[in-house]
Amino acid sequence: MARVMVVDDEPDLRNLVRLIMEKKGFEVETAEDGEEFLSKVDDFGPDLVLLDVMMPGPTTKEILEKLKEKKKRPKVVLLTVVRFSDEEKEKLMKIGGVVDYITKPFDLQKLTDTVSQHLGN
Amino acid sequence: MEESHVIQVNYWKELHKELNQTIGKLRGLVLLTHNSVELEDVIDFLNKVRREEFLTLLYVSLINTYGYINDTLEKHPLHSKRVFVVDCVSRYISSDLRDTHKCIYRDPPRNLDEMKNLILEGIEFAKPDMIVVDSLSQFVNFSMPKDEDLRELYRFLSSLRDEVMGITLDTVILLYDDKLGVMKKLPTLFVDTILKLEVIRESPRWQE
Repeated sequence: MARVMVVDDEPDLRNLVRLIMEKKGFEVETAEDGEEFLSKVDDFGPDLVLLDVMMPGPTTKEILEKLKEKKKRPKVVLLTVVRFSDEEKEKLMKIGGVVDYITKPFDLQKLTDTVSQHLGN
Repeated sequence: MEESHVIQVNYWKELHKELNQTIGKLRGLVLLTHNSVELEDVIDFLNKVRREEFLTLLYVSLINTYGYINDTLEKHPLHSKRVFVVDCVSRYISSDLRDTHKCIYRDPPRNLDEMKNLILEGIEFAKPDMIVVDSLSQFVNFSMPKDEDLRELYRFLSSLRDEVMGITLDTVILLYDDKLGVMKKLPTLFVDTILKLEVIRESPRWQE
């Protein structure tokens, strides 16, 4: 069973996404910020991470750089209300791990389609 | 069945014929509600505002990075306006950012008091004639308003008028994303103008 980690500081959204992912048959773990995520990621070993960009604590770049050091490196889908330039997106892609962006507010079907697509389901 | 109560009644005036005149001369404290997430729609609107004057504009961004704003402005130029930016989002992504002569990077304000201080810092930086705050939706939800949030908003709007606006800086446009729901409480007494920007997009029929 593929493992998905949901990292978002909005509890309602985090729980909603968790429910949807569980319903899709994924094993799910959540974290409310980057620090909690980094403390849980080794134990849980996710295949894919849904990572909110606007959270307190470490920056997205710092989180991605920490993930780079991991043995099992998950795919990362960024969830964001932020509009980036193409150059900024490329910079994050270069650190590695980022496979997609989903703009908030997002369509739930699009979210599940994106996750399924990257997990090969 | 519970009895429902009227919370607010809004009268809207269809202004199409007068719209260019109203927007063309826009001044004061303005609430611009909109249904669009696209910056280009805001730029189209700003291009209609006082287009005969050369204005310095300060854009306080809680949604778009400076890089994205720049890219969009290259494709959709803002005529007769010099733009400075306070970027409150890029620090979420990276901490190694340096201020430039066109943009300062700051942490996002946690409340409207911090937003006012950020605006005052932006005024020192850019000496603007006009300020655009994108967006107020981060602090208040007019569809589910909490008394405390509304009180904070009214205090913020009053302080904009008393401490921020003056002879040169006479226009502050506050954007609000109305996709959050039906707006039950609007700060009608605290702003000079409320405008609604409605963008309707449709895929071309041949794509169906």
